[in-house]
Amino acid sequence: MPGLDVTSMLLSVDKLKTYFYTSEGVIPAVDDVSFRVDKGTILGIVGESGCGKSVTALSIMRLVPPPGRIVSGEIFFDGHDLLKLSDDQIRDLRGDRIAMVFQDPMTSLNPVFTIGNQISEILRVHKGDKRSKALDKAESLLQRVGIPDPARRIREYPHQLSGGMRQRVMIAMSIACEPALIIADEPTTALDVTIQAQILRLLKGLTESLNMALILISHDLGVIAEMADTVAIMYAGKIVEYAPTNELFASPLHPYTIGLLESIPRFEATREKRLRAIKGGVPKPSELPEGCKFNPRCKYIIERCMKEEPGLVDAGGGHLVRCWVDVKKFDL
Amino acid sequence: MQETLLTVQDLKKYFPVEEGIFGGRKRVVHAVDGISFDITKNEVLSLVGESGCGKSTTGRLILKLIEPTEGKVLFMGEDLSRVSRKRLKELRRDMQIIFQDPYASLNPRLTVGEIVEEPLIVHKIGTRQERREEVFRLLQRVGLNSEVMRRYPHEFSGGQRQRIGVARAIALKPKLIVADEPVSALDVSIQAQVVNLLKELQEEYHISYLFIAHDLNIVRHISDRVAVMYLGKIMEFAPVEDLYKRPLHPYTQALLSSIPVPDPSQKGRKVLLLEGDIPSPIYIPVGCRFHTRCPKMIPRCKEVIPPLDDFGGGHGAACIRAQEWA
Repeated sequence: MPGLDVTSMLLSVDKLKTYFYTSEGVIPAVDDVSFRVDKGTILGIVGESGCGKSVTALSIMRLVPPPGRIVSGEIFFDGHDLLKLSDDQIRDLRGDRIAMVFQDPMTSLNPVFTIGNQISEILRVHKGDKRSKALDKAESLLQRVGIPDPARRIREYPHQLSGGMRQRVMIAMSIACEPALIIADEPTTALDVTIQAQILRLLKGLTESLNMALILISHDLGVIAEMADTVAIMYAGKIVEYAPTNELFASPLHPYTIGLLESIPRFEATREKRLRAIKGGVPKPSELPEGCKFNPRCKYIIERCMKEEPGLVDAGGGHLVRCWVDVKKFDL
Repeated sequence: MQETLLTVQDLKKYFPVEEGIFGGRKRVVHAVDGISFDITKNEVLSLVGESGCGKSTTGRLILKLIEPTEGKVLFMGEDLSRVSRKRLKELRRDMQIIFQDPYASLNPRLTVGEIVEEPLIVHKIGTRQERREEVFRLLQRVGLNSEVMRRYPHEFSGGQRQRIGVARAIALKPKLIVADEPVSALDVSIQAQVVNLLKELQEEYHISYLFIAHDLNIVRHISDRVAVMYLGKIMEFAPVEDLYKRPLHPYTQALLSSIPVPDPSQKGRKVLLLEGDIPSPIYIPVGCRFHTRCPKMIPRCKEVIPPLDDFGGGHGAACIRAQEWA
């Protein structure tokens, strides 16, 4: 990765490969993915279903479900080589130094325990707090994430809360031990747009006040543009573009990124015009094409794209792109 | 004057629910709470709003998939609550639906050819051979090749399944299609393809759409007029550009400003952030039902139910303060 400044670095993922060994063959869900996250910064990972963004997150947490397996690569977090830690050691880190927020809070909260019970459990396990002290802390955490009447809420069960409130509870749980890194996988996708705005503002505020880093996984480029400092665009298990947010949106270099941006209806666009869609669909992981994985859908395709896979190279100023074609030559 | 295709008059749908373990207290969900609008021929009217606002229930009421508690739906001048079963079946040829979830809305035991042919059989159209040819044409029109006819839905991706659903919906050349969140289950790069297809078909076959959606970017792209719903009522109603350029209801203003913009240079833009949650449709707030979250609330909002006032040019808003910024 360019500009290696070790003092500010919190997480570095290097040449990570996580494959799934299914009866239908080996699926390279994450295939040679590298990135870094600095302290207190937000990395946005963008991609469509099946691109490997969630498996990347689970790999960092060492929670890849079978038949998936981390095949090779290195993940360094705050001086720890995560892939070499024992199960006990990684369990100590999880929830304490690295926490995760999932898309659907209803399935990640336990329906038979109270909110207070679930938040305080984290503090009892990781900080060794006594029950009453942990409950007090749980109450102030609920306050912190903007839940009204926290003293009442800690005695309630997940089903008694709305979707937005449940996601706030998930966030309260994730920040309980003031982790250095939160991984949020589509945290607002299940929420309505006005609630999404509240949750995003909350996450952003917390990263600033607690100096936490955040990996925000989303399919929504709007969400990423508003939140992230750096963006990684994933396609078919690989990062195809990686750049500071302003740079990526101002001059996208990968045809897939360009296609994604163009397919969003813009307010300024004349309504009669067709949306510029990316042709075709995401390839099945078992049927990936030769060469560049995006080539069947790409409108800038040249012959080389069908034979050789391009590497992720620096196009200048830390803007990495995985493409044989210099799209800047074309009039966009 | 455009010809009216569909008229909805003071439509209401209440669902009874039982609360408490022993079902002691009877409560009512006010899913749709008195809405009126019409759709003209060839028009795309969008219903937007957040979950629980009643937009999907409205779509189902219009197709008479569920019965209204009160109010009327007139389709081509005929009151659907008064027509005979036989007539209703005839009318249904002209009103079709596209569902949100392409995984749940196609029969897994039928081939794609059978799925698309089914409406033609139900309405006894053509001979077997003619139907086959028509199915072939329809599938081609929605961008699928003929070899898909013998395959089953599970073999297809979400985007392809939605194309199959679209082919089925246009098989009878309907006059109205209720499209209930037709692209929200699809990947971003596929959404644009399906939106383009829907728009092309609308122009080609002169179909009117009731387009139910929560993605306001897509709504702006496809609609002629937009109705914004909140807790079962229409809060604002306007021609599409007028609504986006001059939103009059604070709820519409908040919705529009909450859309994340894919442009980092607008990071610091002013967002009208709403406080709190959407109230339960069982306990609708008194007065203006939006007052509990409204950043522009004044004491009178708790007392009066605001009527849908006309602000000219077909732009209506249900807010007692809208005059101040109209």
